[in-house]
Amino acid sequence: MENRQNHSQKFSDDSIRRFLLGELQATEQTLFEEQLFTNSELEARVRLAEFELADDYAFKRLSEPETASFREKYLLTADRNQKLNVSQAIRNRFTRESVSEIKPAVYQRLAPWFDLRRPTWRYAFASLVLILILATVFLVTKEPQIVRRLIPERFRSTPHATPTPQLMNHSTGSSSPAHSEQSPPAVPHESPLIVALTSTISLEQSPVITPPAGENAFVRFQLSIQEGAQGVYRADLSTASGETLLTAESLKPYGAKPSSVGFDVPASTLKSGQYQIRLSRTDDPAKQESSQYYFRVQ
Amino acid sequence: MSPAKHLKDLRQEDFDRLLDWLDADREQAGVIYERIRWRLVAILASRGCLTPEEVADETIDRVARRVVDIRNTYTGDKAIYFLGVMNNVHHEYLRRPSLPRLVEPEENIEAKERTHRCLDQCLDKLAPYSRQLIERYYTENKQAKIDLRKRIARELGIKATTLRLRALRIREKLQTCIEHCLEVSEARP
Repeated sequence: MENRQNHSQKFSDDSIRRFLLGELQATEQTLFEEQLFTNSELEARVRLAEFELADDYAFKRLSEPETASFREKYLLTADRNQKLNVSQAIRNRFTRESVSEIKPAVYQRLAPWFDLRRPTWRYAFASLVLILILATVFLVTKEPQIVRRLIPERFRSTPHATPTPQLMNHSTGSSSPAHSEQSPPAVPHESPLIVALTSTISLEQSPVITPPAGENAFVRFQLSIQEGAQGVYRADLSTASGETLLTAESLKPYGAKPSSVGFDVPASTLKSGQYQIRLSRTDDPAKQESSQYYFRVQ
Repeated sequence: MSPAKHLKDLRQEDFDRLLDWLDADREQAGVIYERIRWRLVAILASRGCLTPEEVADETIDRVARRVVDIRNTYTGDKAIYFLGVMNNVHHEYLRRPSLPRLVEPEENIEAKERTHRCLDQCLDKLAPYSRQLIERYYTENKQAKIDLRKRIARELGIKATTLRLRALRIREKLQTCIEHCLEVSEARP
């Protein structure tokens, strides 16, 4: 009896597990089989090891090779399958992990409802986007004060003055439509020097001017024309020697009864000397007469 | 499970003769018979036999038929005689064309529910100490399980190996109880 018990002790718990999983070497297997038939203690240990093995499988404690051996070499009888069923029932009954494993089952049941590919979800999202767009439009147009509250001050765009276009000639004024909107203040610039010139004055009698100083300073020449004359004009500024300094086209007479054409010349262009401005009409080939205007710069 | 359930072609008189040969006490003979069969199945499964129960039953059938010839002459361990016969039957099995492995049955939800119900019933039948022990023994997994079992063994003043044996014996009792419970519930209309 004692001898048998000694034989039983020869086999470790690991050997018993390898026997159950069919992983013993041939010589060890033969010895184990003989002992299993003659040694009650080994038999009892193997029986208990069967429960432990089924438990370990149910609790997912086996390595991958052990799991494979368990399925292929151990789980071959109804009796062992029943042991495994009980092990799984115990796992579900007692372990905390089983609670988390129930969740996937619940999720699987609910998953179809959360499948975003369902047409219901598509329509719902489309409706949501549409509602958001409409709400945004409503807020911006009807309730701007809410928008102002929602958008932080530092991100809000502030209106800023844009410079008034610098026209080379004056508009007719009265023909402009009435505009009630307050224009932003124009960029301050230096006041022009306005010089009225007539074509009947000779070079010797021409006015002597002193152009205003300043980078943006300019001289506005008011070139007299026949009263009530219309058309489009071209003005050429040249020195006494005939060198053209500046040309302005598409000039139109201004005023209710137009009697002059405006021609702005940057002050920096004008150095000390004698100059002439030639004004010619460009819109009507039959009236291509030109007038000469003279002035001198001090 | 009744021993006769395993037998197919065995005549009743041969089976009775087998039980008599194993032990004069019929009840004890039944116990011996079940233990021998369990060992045969365990060994055949370990050898990689895909139908260990069938080969084990065939082995028992052959021994039962020979009992009439050997009962007066065989003197050794009777269980060992089964082992010898099993080796022959297993060799014959290995020479047969291999059968494809049966497909694993689908999960039977109803059977699982029955097992759970039986587990609850059988837990209720356990002594309070045993129930408390088994509940704590199976509560944790992985490292927490190891720590918990060390703590339980310390509390009970026993070695971890002793705790393991105690828990597995309770587990064995549960198994027996549950199998009985399932047989009863299946027998009900």
